Amino acid sequence: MEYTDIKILTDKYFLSETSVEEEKQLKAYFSSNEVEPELQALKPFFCALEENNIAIPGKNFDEKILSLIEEEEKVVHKAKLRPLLPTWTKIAAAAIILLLLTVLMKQYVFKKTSDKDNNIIAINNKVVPAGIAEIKDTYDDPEQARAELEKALALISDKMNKGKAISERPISKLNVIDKIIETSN
Amino acid sequence: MKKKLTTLLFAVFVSMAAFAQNDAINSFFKQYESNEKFTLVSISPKMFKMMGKVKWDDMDPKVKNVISNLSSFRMITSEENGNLYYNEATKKLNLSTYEEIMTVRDNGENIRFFIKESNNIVNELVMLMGSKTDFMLMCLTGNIDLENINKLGSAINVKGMESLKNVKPKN
Repeated sequence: MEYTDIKILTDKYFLSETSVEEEKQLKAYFSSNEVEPELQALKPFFCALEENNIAIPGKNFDEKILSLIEEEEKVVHKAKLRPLLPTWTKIAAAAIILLLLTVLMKQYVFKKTSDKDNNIIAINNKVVPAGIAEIKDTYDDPEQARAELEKALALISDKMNKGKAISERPISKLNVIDKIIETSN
Repeated sequence: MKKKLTTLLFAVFVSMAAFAQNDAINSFFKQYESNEKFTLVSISPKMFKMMGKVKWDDMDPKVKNVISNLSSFRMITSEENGNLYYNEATKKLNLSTYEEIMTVRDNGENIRFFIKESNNIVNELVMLMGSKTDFMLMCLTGNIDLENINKLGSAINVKGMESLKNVKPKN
């Protein structure tokens, strides 16, 4: 295009009076290499306009945006899934309940007769551990039973007294030491 | 949910077992009663009742007093491996549920006495004895007065008392 025409167009442009067609003509002129020296100064300006591409959303734009949103939503959801009562508290609670249950059971179920608690039942009005009722007699004759029993009692008596005697020995030694201390003072 | 329920029930029963009664002595007797190396003597409550009815001419009143308050007697002895069975009994008999009243260790002989009491009455007395050769476990139940037993000593005819093992049980 001729210099004068272009000059008219640029003036129009700066007065916002150019049409789209005319703007295109301007852009084409300034992109070419035939810019008049006087108009060189304007070249960068009009070239830059050329580069201003209006961004048009691509095909996948919607999907990309939605996926970003969804990602964010997921993150938010995950954060909310933390349990109100952590596992260990539940276990501890269960254990305490269990303990209480067993204690209560011991109290009320097993203590119906307080004797049963000690594994004791009454036979012949005497107190007897429950396993005793099943004893099979070694002797049929009370005489023999008595003999055996007396021997056993004697043994018990003997050993118990022996124990007592031994336990009294050190004390008598202490007495000796006492006396020595006394006399040496 | 079902799984949780069953584990809960299981746990309850297990802990109930922990509170369960001490049958260890019974089991110990049962375990060895058929073993020929052991001598077992048992006197049941019925026999004690019978003994109470007999009119003994030669029984010392102190002895009579003690015996009349007893309910049962069981004793198991062995002439071999004394310490072995002694140690085994110590482990198996759940003795922590008893109160140990005396321990004597003398001349290679270990003797321990245990009692169980309720309402200030001793209703069970256990004597456990072990030496290199001999083992003895004895259980008395009833209304036991330790003082009276201690005093028995001379009141009993002690003929051949050392050889309790020589008594032949009537079959």
